[in-house]
Amino acid sequence: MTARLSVATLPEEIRDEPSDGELFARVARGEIGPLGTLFDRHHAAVRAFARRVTGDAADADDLVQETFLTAQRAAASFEPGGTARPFLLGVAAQLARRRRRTFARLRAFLTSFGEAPRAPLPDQEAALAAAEEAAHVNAVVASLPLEHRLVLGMVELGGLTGVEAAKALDVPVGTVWRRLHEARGMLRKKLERRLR
Amino acid sequence: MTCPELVLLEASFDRRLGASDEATLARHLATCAACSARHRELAALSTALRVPDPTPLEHKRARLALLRAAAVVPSADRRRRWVPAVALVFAAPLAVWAGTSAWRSAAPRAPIVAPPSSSQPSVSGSPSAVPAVPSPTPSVEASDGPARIEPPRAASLRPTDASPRPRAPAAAVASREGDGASRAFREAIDAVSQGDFADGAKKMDAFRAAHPTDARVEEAAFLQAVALQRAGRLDEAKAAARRYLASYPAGAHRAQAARIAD
Repeated sequence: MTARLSVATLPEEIRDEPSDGELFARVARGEIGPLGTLFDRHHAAVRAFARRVTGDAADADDLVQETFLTAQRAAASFEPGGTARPFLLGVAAQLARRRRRTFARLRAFLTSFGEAPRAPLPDQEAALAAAEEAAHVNAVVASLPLEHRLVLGMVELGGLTGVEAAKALDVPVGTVWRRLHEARGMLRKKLERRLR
Repeated sequence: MTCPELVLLEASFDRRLGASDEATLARHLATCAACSARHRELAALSTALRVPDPTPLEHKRARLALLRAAAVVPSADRRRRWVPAVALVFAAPLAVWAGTSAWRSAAPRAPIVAPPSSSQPSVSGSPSAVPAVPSPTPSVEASDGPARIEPPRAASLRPTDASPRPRAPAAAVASREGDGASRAFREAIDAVSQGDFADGAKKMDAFRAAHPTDARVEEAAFLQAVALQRAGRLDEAKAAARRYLASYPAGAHRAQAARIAD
């Protein structure tokens, strides 16, 4: 079976491999190869976080690349000793905050064109239903305030602890728990029928 | 839904509970319908929020795009920003002159602008070194898409004597030599741009050896150090950077070379 890129299987895959700290130290010295290894380890988590924060696949892919390029430039500031995920998600959160207005403007521009409805082929209906469901969840998550999405993405999807998320977002840990509670409350309300 | 244990339930989803609290909560869930319903709801929410992992192809594409972007050497990045301005400054007079030249002379055309070879425009050499003087080249072909502006090549751009134009055989020989150097340099740049740093460093070295008087030798010397660094051959990169600094103490890349040599 092909090795999966799942976050859950990473610790086994990277056993006996250099630590994230060692890889960042080499990236800081100008090497490119270790950046690829860091990408292999954390792409899925950063991408999931970016998807939920931006609500758009293309924006998310841009954010992922920008995150790793920014991490490359800031490699020397990475504090060794643990996984790079809090650092990378922190970088992604900073970039998302900076690009919030751009995303909003771009989305408004794109949706202004609209899309003509098309009749699905029979074998496409199930896939379309699933896609519509995913799009609905995306839209609901995208309607949350950015700071709530950041916390949700870090803890729920990125697997960060509250302390790690608080450090990455530069807020008190109590704020993380409060925003997470509020975000879940808003989502439960908006997705009520679908969650039953 | 006013069960006081609801607080514990959400803390469990936040991974804040210890083992004993988790066990207490599990026992409570078996007896409390309200908490059990909320537990199912929160679990369904977690599932709904999950994002499918990237497919191997998506991962590979994103990885390649990242490494390509990460491998852009600083000098190349700076040149790319020059392109629109440089293209406007030099393309317009060249095009005007080319038109009048073509009208005056019926000589065979020998384009000095290479056809587009990639989707990204690029300029090799120092743009400011391109002489804005009439040359024996009978015409310039211009087209949409990326343009390649070559650094000054005395034989192809600068009149060397007062002989009547065109001097086809001599110009052709000089052009072939220039093409060879340009091709070698382009291949070296391409190797570095594509992330094949070991090959890029080798080709930069070969270019310097084969064309020691070429205007791009300084650039090649610097890029060789960068390519070696990116390939992880740090000792060789330092040696190459020191060679660059020794040869070009006032070179355009001295600051970056000094950082590599450290």
